[in-house]
Amino acid sequence: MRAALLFFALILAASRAPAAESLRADLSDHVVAITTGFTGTSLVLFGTRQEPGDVVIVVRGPPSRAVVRRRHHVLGFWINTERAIFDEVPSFYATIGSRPLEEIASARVLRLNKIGIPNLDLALRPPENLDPARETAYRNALVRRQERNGRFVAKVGDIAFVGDHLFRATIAFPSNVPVGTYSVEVFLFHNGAVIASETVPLSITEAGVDSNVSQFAQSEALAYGLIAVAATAMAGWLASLPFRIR
Amino acid sequence: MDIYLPIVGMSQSVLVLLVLGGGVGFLSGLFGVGGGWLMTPLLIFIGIPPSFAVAASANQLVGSSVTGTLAQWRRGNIDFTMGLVLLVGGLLGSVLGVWVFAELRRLGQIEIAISFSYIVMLGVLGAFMLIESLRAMLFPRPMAQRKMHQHNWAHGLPLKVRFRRSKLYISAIVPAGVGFAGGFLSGVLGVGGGFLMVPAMIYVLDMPTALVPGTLLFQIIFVAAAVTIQQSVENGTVDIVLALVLLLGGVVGVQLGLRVGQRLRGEYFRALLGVLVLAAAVKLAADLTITPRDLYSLELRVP
Repeated sequence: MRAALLFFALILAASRAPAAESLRADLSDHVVAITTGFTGTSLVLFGTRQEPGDVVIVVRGPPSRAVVRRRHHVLGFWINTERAIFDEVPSFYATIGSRPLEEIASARVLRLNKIGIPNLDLALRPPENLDPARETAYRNALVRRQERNGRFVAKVGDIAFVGDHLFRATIAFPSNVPVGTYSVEVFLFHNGAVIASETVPLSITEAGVDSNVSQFAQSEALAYGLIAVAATAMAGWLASLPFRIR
Repeated sequence: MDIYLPIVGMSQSVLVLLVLGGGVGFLSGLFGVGGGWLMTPLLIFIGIPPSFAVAASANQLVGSSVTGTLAQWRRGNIDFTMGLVLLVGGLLGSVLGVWVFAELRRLGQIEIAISFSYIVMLGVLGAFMLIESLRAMLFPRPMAQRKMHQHNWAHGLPLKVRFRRSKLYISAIVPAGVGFAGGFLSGVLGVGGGFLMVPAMIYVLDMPTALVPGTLLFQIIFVAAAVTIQQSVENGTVDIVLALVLLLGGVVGVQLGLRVGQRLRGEYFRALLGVLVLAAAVKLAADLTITPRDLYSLELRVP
């Protein structure tokens, strides 16, 4: 319903103010609440473009620290023996392009605008130092693991154009989506150059009982532990009641 | 239907968790084994990270041992003095266990340490069950009566305590040591430690067999509670939702297991379980020795 209203408002805006801004976009929701039944979600992004061109959407999750470990064969067993730590790794990163990114712009332009998984700034934590070949191997592993977990995503063609101006895209989030503050950037490309961009904020939070539970578990770990014990002990006692008379 | 596990931070099917809890409960009811040792690897198998699996396993163990203790208590099968001495050792052991767990986690070795411990544990346990049940099948006669007042090295130690219910007069150091070993395992692996403590209580402490399960369950309540609290404070890995769902499945499973167990010949099923447990140990060992598909693993931390 809200999405439909928004879409309608955008159509109105598009017809009324033709050359005002070359790119406008908004999301169907600015807050995603993760509740007990959460199994992933998708948001709809609506936008208008006043000039023809390709649209690229970049979704970036909150930064986190990534510890990448490498196994080595020790006495017949595969054991973690080496690690590399990367700072400021987006915990979620997705690109959605109206066409494959390499067809939309040159590698240089994509790199300048930090668009695409290969152009992510994945830097080792300052004191760490590795020779370039190993650093590359660790960086590739980081990207590979994130891709396998569905947290680094590159999609093509999930953008539908309605007429010359309107477009609509679906952004999917998996059930293991990290919570935090996100940014959704929309780029308009023309002849291989960015001619307009807009950033839409997005927040993914735990809501209801679950947010209270995890916050409480973090801030009051001792009390939480005691409650966890009391709850299971109580449940265990309740469970014994129906079987008392035998 | 899926349920979101707030501490693990992922969704999991309620049905899978209930079936898992129920299945483990059913086996513990059927065979009279604890089942904690089965819960952790199964949770890991369905995709719960090992550190959360261990904590949830310990937490649900509090509930299942309360149920078990109440049943045993009504039959008068608990030696409380012995339970308290075991508990003192158990609490100390659990502190060490949780500390070792936290240290291994910091070093990035916790997954391998858990797998490794399980290989040894399941291997020994499976072999023991298989041998014991084969012996029972081939020589269907109860074992020789144990002599009263048989003395061994355990009787020479100081701090002697009279355990009235068990009709024992032995040094408190021995049961405390047995408890310590069980508590340590509980802290590291989230198991009750029954597979280690039951034979120790029967053969080392010389306790009457009828009192062993009740006394053990009684002390596991408190050791598991201590482990849960320590895991919460030290590692923040206790997911109460996960523990409660597992417990819900578990209590139903135990009762079903008990009913079925009364009608079946135990040896054949124990032999089968022994084979299954050995197979699980082999599977875990293979996972550690076969070249992994990806040599790299990733852990994301929120700064």
